[in-house]
Amino acid sequence: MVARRLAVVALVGGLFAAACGNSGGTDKTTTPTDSTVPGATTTTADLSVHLDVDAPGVTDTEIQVAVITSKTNPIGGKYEQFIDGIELFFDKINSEGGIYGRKLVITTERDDIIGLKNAEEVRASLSEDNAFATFLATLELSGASLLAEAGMPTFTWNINPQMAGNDNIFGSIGAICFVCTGHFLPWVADYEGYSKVGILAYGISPSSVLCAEGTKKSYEAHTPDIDVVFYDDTLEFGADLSAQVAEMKSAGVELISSCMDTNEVFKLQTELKKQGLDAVQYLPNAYDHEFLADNAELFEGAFLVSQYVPWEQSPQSPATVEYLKWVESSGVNAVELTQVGWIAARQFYEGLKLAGPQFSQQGVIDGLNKVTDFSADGLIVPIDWTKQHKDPTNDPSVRGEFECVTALKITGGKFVPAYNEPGKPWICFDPADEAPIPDFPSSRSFAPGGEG
Amino acid sequence: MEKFLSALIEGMSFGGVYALVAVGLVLAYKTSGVFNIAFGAQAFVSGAIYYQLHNRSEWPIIPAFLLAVVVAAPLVGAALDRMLFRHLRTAPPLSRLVVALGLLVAIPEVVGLFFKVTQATQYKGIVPGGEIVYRPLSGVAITRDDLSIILSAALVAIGLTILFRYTSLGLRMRAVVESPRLTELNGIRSDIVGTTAWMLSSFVAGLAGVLLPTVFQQVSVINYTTLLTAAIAAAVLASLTSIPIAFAGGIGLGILQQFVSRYLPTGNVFASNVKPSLPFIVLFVVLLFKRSLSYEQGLKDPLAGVDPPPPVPASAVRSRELTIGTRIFGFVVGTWWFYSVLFLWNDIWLDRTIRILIYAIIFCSIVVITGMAGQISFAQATFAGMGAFFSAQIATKQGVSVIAAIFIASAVAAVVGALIGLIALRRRGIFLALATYAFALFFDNTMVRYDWVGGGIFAIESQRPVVGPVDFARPVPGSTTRDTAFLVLVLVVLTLVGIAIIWMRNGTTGRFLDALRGSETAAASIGINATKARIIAFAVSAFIAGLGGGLLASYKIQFSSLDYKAELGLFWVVIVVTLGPRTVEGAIQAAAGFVLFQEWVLPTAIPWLYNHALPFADITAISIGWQQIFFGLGAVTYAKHPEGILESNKTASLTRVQGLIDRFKSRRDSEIETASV
Repeated sequence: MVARRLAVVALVGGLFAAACGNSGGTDKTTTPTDSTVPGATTTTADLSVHLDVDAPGVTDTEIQVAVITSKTNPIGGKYEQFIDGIELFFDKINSEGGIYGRKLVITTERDDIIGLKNAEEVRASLSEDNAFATFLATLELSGASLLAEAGMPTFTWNINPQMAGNDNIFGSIGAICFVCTGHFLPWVADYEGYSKVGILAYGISPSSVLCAEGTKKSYEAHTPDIDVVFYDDTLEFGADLSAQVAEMKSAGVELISSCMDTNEVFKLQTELKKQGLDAVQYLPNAYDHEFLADNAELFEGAFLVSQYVPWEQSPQSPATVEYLKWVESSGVNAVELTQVGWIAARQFYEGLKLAGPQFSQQGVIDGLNKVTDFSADGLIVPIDWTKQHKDPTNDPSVRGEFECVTALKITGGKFVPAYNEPGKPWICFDPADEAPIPDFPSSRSFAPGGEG
Repeated sequence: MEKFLSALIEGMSFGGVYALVAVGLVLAYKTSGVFNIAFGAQAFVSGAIYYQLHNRSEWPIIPAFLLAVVVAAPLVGAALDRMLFRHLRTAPPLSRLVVALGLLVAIPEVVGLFFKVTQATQYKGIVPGGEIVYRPLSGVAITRDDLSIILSAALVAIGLTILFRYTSLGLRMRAVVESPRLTELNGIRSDIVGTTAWMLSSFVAGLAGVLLPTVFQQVSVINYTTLLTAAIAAAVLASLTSIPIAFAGGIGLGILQQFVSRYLPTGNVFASNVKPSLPFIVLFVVLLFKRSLSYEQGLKDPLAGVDPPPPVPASAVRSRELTIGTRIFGFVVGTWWFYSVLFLWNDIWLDRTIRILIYAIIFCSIVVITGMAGQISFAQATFAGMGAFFSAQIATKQGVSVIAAIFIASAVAAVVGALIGLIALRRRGIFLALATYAFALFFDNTMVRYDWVGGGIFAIESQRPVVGPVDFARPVPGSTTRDTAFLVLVLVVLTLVGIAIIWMRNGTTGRFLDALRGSETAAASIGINATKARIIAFAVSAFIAGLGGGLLASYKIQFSSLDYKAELGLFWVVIVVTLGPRTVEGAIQAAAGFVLFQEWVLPTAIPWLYNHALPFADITAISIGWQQIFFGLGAVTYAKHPEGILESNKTASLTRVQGLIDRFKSRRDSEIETASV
């Protein structure tokens, strides 16, 4: 019971970036077919070469990794399923013979308890686990500096500001700019014809407060005709929202941008319904099929973004098809974090490939840091690790050339891709576009072959 | 007008749940003499069962309700009575409070082993179509679920009032609390009446349990405990005796919260802090100024106001030889541990050892306030937090040296502690404990959210101290340097704190506190100044907690208010009273339990033992909930072993060993005597 609010939810953090549109982005306007590394020489043939390697967690037969998740949490976070995704990808690679004659194995799973014990668990892992790499899906990343000081290749579900500035930590997206202005929400509001917006955030979560600030700035910067008529970034976790909804109702709010997790947006939607306020919610963290199955009717008409190419995109990309094939064959209950785990493992594998048969921890880090467009075969917006470790808050040059999101609407009890062209799941804006109303975004695909 | 009516109706809905729980608390107190702070946990049991049956397994409402509320809830009540509270009827109120606290910690975790729902879903309550909204007036909305709450609370309050005022069963229930033996002389089976009372109060808890999720939209134990705090305010307003006042208090509190919420501006930190803090403020004010709340309330037994003398400590049962032997044993174990940490074990054991020592310092504060003064304070985590927040602020913003900053911050905590002791002077036992909890929750919900106290929303940076040539900076991972300097620092501080406590216990203040523990009136009659002694105990306890809190912040370098939450303080009390609240040694053992159970015993040691004992077994970790279950259930032994389980076992073991030594000596003496003859 130690504090549910404590967690408060970085969950949303990762998607604030998508909402504000400034964390990731890519320099590439072309469709990459693989990670681009100037001077990289590793080929598929090299992957079967077995050489003696003297590195932590590496045996003759295995490359061992540790995983830390916020398995214990009171906010509904399914972080433990991050491990399933890693295992699925490892199973796939191992079924193909592994890499450098070794299998990829998770040897330790740790629980940092809502992120409260993140630094302790990281310290324990560094001392005890003898792991070659560490994977994290945690609400806090207070152990980031320890991992950096230890030179540990680290692969995370990036929702934490501490990721920035550590070139050993590779997130599912680049370093996040929480307060930068973005184009997606203002564009949607304008496109859908909304003129009055409400913004809500937790007052006890830094990422939530910063998200609200960034969202407000975005509307002010790009849509002068749209008024933010309600703004509350002081909410308690689990707060009664009746007063807020009453005020939004009297202010005539049509669109609500919240920076809160699924539990709270659920409460908000229930209260909206009760008080008869027919406003549409933007859900920052709701690409969850279980959540949809339970609450489809309540959220009809709401829209959201996904961290990766949604399964509902048609045609599905080969990467999505392969992921779903492994999900089906393993029988795991796949959620959003499962696929994030798969992508993290994919990135680790890429690092090993780049490090070569005589790999080392530093070799993996150095290899990935030369990659300019890691997209997990098109599942995510390409990341340029030559610059996206840096905090983009005060350095626009590391923000990427385009900001892209994959949007969905809840329609007829289903997630339905929205605003994009078929086969091109990402809608992308030009971050430099300072027009009062953003131009209609371009649809893109980052999958090899250019579709899905 | 629309806003007014809307707030009124909404407030009645929230207030209905507060009222139901408040009525349940009063019912439990009236019928068992137990201030049942585990009431929320009992409600959670029924809420979880109902959710599983009706919402997940799609049972119809009536059978799901019958099983969860009419069958399961009373069974829980009967079990608690039969196994625990029946044996505590003559125990001091404080012991009963600690037992209930243990249950509060343990029950949700036991339920959690079988039930896990953390994500919000459309909760279906006990009336069909609960989400259907009625709009009696323009702009005023009320759902069927809201109506079910208000009506249930009203019916329960009316029913119980009738029961106590006009039925013989109600009279018997009250009589059993006051004197079970006297009621038995009248031919009444006090055990059956007592069990009935527990089943009835548990039924009310179960009803609250299935109604609550319609308000919070989630079946989560946190909501049940949050609600409990608000309900406590209403129950205390009713002096724990009047059901109608508890009902009115609950409803009133709900309405007051809604008016505060609607009429204060939204988006304002002060306003957003006031609403959740309101129940704590009300509770604190009521506890301070309501004259009818006195310690002796509910204790009609003339001897009940006099606590029995504390059990003989383990150190008192051993002879000089055994004392030397145990000290040598302790020295050897301690030396082995520190030698291993410094030269054999890896950094993680060094880290754990440092944290054990820091938590031992914090837990020593519980030794002072509970073990010596005989009071329960739920604000120890808050005092530790003060030490952390203020020392970090002073050191980083004012440039004061870290050690000095920790001392200044601890002094601030001591002053606040003394003030709490002073203003809550007329309260003892349960009410003092509740006052400290109200203060802790108020501090959590309001003060720490200001930048100048808890750093606002961001994690707080703290610093490591530098003392002369010694830099206690954190070593770089992977380097050959280790954190041994900090280990020595906390070891020195713990030693000084330990010496101070022993000195205090053996000095005048300790003797006065012992006397006050036994009988305040008797102590006053021999000239002991109770006010002074209690204020000193509070101040010293808060100072020690602040010291530990400041050291923990400095050690972690980056920390947040979450490390010092009031709820954590509840668990700290549980773990210390379970293991040994009267000695420094007990505090160290509790700290070791706190750190190692979660980090080593459950995830590593038990699975290793299990897997080696059973070759076919393959478990990787035990749920960390077992820590709460283990220590929560351990706390229920407090009434029997107020000196703590470990201390009790140690005493028993030493008594046995001493017996063997005495027998051996006596045999040897007789042999020598025989030989000489």
